[in-house]
Amino acid sequence: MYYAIASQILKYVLIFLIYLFLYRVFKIVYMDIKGARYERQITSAKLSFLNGERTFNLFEVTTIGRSEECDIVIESPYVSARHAIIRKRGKRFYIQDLNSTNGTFINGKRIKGIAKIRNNDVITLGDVDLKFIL
Amino acid sequence: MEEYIKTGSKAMKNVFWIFVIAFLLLFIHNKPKGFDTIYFTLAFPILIYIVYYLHVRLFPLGEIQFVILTSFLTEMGLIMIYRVAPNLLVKQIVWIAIGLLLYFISSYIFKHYYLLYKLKYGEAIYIAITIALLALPLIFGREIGGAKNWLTFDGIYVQPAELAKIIYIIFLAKYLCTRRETKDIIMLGLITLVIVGIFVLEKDLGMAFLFYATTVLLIFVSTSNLLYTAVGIGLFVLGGIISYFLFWHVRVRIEAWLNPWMDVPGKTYQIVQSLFAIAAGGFFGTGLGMGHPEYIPAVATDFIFSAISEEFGFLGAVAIILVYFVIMYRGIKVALNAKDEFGVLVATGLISMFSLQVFTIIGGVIKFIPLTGVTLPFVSYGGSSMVTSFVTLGMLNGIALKEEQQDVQLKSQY
Repeated sequence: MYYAIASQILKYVLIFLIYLFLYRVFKIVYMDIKGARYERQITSAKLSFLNGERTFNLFEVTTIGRSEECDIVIESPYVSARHAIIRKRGKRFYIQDLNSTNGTFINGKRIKGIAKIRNNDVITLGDVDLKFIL
Repeated sequence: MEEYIKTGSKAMKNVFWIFVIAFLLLFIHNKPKGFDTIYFTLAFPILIYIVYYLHVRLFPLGEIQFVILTSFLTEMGLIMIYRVAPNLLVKQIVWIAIGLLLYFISSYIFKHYYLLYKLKYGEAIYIAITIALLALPLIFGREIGGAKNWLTFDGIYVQPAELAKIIYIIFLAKYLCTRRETKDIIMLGLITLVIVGIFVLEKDLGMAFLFYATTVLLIFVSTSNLLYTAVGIGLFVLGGIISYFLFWHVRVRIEAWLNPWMDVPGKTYQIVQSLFAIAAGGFFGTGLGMGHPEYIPAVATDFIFSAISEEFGFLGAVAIILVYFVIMYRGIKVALNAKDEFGVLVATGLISMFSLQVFTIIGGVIKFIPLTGVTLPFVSYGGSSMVTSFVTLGMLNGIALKEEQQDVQLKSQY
């Protein structure tokens, strides 16, 4: 008898808990989708050609290369299809060389893997010089 | 990332409290026989918590949602299994523990899935294993519940078709990666017909449908050719009509689907009892222990969804379906992000097979499509199905880890 009453009350509690669980699961899904969108946000940093020809805005995550898929497309035979990637972590920017053929240089020094970039650094991809402006 | 894990931990806490409330009620309703049941029941929440924290530690970029969602599904399964068949509870918990262990192992192994691609004569080896596994029960098998697809070893019942699913998908991915000419697709069609033929001989229609539908889907994904897909669907309809006239057990299923009220005590007993149970549940359910799910045949395995509908109501049943949707979403996301074509095809195949299985059995018990006996992954009682489902998700996790290895390097350097 008491069991029947307890079961009747607790079934609403169980359903409530199940839907609270679902709410949290969907919250994680939402955070995931938002995270993907976050990568496309434009930051204040810029990359410009040394001769001042063009200037690009940087995203939170920006890919550079010859291929059309990249965010910044540089048409030069010395630049690889996917040459390098620049990411923002906190307030700093990091560049990663994606195993390009002719390498990535910062102020004339060839980088291996990941390197930090500062204001007014000159980034060389193949034969193209770019200036990083924060 | 921090907030991500915090929300996950909160979800795990909800899972824990659902478990505590439901099992307190059930232990009053149906006193546990012996201390084994109590010890194993207590072990379950500890097990899932250990797994959750290990997953956060070992795979910081892995698919943590798989662990959260499967712990919810297995928990709902355990609650219902204890309600309808208390003596199966301990075995089910042991199977879950084995499944979780295999989840981690397959995650680690499947990070290197390209080795499966590079294996020489891979296609021939995989298809040979698949057909051998499927044909074994025809020779040595035992007939349980009308289908001859079981093997027995010292009282342990194994369904080899469950394992064959995974190997068949690896075969399909390998085959479709390199061969897409019309003659290759026709060859693949013949192989699929052989497999479906074996299943028809074993009277296992659910599995036949799963293998066929996954093949058609993967051909579509890899070639994007609508003609092949249309031919595949056309052949499926044609085969269905032919087997309706040819095989008695197909005719029974389809007639029971069209008109379940024609022979209630006999041929359509299962589906009618399932419909009664779902109707009795209403929106909020009858409350744990207050319904009569024991009237449904095979309630711990195939019809567990009807039992959940009865005691947790429409809302509980919808929650289960939504959880499967999220698993499907994560799986498709893994496939979209996979780095190479083999990874894409394997991930798509695995998640299609999984989702189609869920659709087949839930659609079957609510009389949306003709009923075929496959298990509801993670919820139904059954060792082979539990282990295969965990390995499926483990492989998807492995593919996801492979694709994000570059990010791990990035983090470790500063």
